[in-house]
Amino acid sequence: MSANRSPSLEPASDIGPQEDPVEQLASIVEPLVGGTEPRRRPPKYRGLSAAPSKPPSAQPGNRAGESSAQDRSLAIEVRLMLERGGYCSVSLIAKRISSLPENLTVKTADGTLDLRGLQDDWYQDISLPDMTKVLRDGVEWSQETDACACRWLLSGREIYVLAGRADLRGFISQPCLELGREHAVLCSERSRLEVEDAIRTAGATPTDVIDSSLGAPSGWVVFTRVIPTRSVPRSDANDILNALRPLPEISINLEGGIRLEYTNWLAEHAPLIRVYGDVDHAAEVFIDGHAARPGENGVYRVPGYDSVGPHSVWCGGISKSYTIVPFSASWQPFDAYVFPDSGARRRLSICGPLVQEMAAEAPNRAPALLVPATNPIVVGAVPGQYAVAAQGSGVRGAPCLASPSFEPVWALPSDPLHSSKALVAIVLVGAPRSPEAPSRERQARGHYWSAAVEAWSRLILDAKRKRLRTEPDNADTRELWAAYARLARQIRRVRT
Amino acid sequence: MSLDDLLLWMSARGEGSWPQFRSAVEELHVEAEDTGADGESSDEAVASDLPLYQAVRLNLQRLGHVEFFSTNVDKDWRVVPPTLATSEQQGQWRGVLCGARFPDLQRRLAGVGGAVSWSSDEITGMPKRIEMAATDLEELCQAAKRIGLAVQLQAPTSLLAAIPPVDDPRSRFPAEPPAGPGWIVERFSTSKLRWKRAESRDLERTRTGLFQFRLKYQRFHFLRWQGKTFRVQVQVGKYAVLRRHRIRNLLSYDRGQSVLSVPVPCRPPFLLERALVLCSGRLPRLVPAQRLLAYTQVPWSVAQLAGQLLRQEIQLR
Repeated sequence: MSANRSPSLEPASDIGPQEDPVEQLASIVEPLVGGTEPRRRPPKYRGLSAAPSKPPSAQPGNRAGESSAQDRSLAIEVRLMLERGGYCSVSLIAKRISSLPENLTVKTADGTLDLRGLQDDWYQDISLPDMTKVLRDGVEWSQETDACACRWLLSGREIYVLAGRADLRGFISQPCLELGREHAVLCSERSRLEVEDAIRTAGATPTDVIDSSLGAPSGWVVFTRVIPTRSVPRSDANDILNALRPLPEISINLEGGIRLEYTNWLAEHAPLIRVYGDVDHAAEVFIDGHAARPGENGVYRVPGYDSVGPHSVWCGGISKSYTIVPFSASWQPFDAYVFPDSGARRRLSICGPLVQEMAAEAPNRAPALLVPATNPIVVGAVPGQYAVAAQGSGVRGAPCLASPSFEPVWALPSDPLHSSKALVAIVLVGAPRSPEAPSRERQARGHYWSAAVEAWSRLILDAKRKRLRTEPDNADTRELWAAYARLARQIRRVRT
Repeated sequence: MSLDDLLLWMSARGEGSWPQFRSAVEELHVEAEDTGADGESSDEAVASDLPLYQAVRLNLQRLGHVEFFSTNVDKDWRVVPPTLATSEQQGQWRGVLCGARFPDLQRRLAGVGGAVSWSSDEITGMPKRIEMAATDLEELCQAAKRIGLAVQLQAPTSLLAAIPPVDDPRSRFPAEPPAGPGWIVERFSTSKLRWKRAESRDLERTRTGLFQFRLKYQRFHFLRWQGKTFRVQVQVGKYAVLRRHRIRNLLSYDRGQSVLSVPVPCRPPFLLERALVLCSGRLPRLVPAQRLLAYTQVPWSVAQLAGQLLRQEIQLR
């Protein structure tokens, strides 16, 4: 009954390389200066400049969101989860890089905080007690080991733009609105009017609002279903409202489906192809060289886009590729949990609902068959097919488990002559197969003289002599049992 | 996206690492669904207090779809071969589909025909519940084999027949508690059914008791049994000390509805719970008013055997 490993313990990360999803980090990632002690007041967000920002993944030599080895300065993003009943929750999710451990403790301005690995690129999100202040003023965490020093930063601000990502649930903060894409905008109450105006200017409607009564941090509101349809020029100054002014930049997104690994999607679960940005003024979208038009929900398709094999999407000078792979898998039972039987002679293994003898001890094993505790011997149709069932739990009266290498037909008491006729029966446990007399060839090889055949025939004859009833007690079963008894008698005659 | 996509992804991969699983839960946008209290890893916590991927993992394990952290397997998780877990109920043989799912499963099920019926239900917090049924066991087994499923006859009883009782030496392993500073030590109160703060020296002084050692995300459970210390699965340890303190009235059974109920803090040990879950193919239902977990469609014979393994008497209702 004991699990082999404690469920509360998690293994160290052993994941292989994965595709880097396109990163767009909302936080300013600054070079690390002045040691790793967190500052009391992290720098304020200064707003986007008029020039479009390059996504970090486009910068040569840098993994997305990951600074160089000397200044490991990482982002903290804001995560918004929409929950049932119109509620929401807001948390912080810290970036992770491959050289960082799965679990670590970081220093904060007020003490320490434990981070736990969620996946290769992120730590598990956490909700701090005073999210109102955290969002407004920002936070800074640091961690220093012999090998490296790291700092995580969320710069404080009044407005956060959030959108879905391929690798995380919910809405994650990003630098700015993108045309055609669904966003959530988290802003302070005092900037609400400005934000509503900016959302309207971008062609979206700021009508779906979540306030603090539904889970937004106190003094903050969340606009949901913000889908901008118009590009808006950014102001020249570093204006925080620039985050709500989408540029006409094109991006190709592969969304949903079932991605097996890297750029491979499972057949019948191909990704949805969406193109964001000012698509109307961009060149056409091509999939596998064929012009594609947007269909329902802005999804682009051409015939065969989801067929097995490699595919590519191209639009406005940028491209993305994916491969559809067929479902190909096979599964074998394995020993997930192993328990010795109550006599410690054999070991039973459990795999899902399957109960079997352990693979190493029963190479031709089959799912175990339950037999009454009174009938622990199973016999098959061929003389010599004889096995003893295991007492697994050891609880009084609990059934036994037989896992023979043959197809069992009957379950018999171990000592029929001393069994109670009132309590014990000859139980038909398998398909009603007629007994199979050994071939002349096997007889000639002395098959009848083996100990297993002796045990098989003796047990059947003893049960017959005791006149135990059959179960089920009907004419067909009685007739089948009589055939076994005849063969057992014939064997006994040959042996004597 | 749903847990069906996650199970299909896992079936296609076959096996993998824990980080890969967590990434898939995120990437496939599996929704957080409150399916009731969860006492496996965190005793008093409800499912929503656990990270989503832990709650998903526990449910997949309970339903017998995937095994996690088995010492006999190299990887952190491995999918169980597609298996029909059968049981007999009210004169009919039913089989709940466990383990791997494959794309043309529904088509193969639809092609079964004859005297074998099948159904597929969407249920919160778990992949689709797929059930096959027939009055004749042989027909059910033949249909399962045509689809490509292994068959475990009388799965709930077979599981229960394979696992030792909570107070059996096979359920615990000699071990020493962790030393060093920082560990929070708690002792399970059999009267209040919750953890109470203790000192690490209490363990040495106690003849029988269950202790929890916590440090950040780590939890270890140690059973003091007849003055010796053993590592034990938390729910096994709870029932063992409850038995030792002669608390034997925790289980109740509604014969009319075939429902077995246990208090939320006393969720049955993991494999025993799997046996109860496979009676219906459904996760237990939380009864908030009474703080009970209710396992449905549990035959009386299965409830009795479960009670014997937990060393509990069953109150009939």
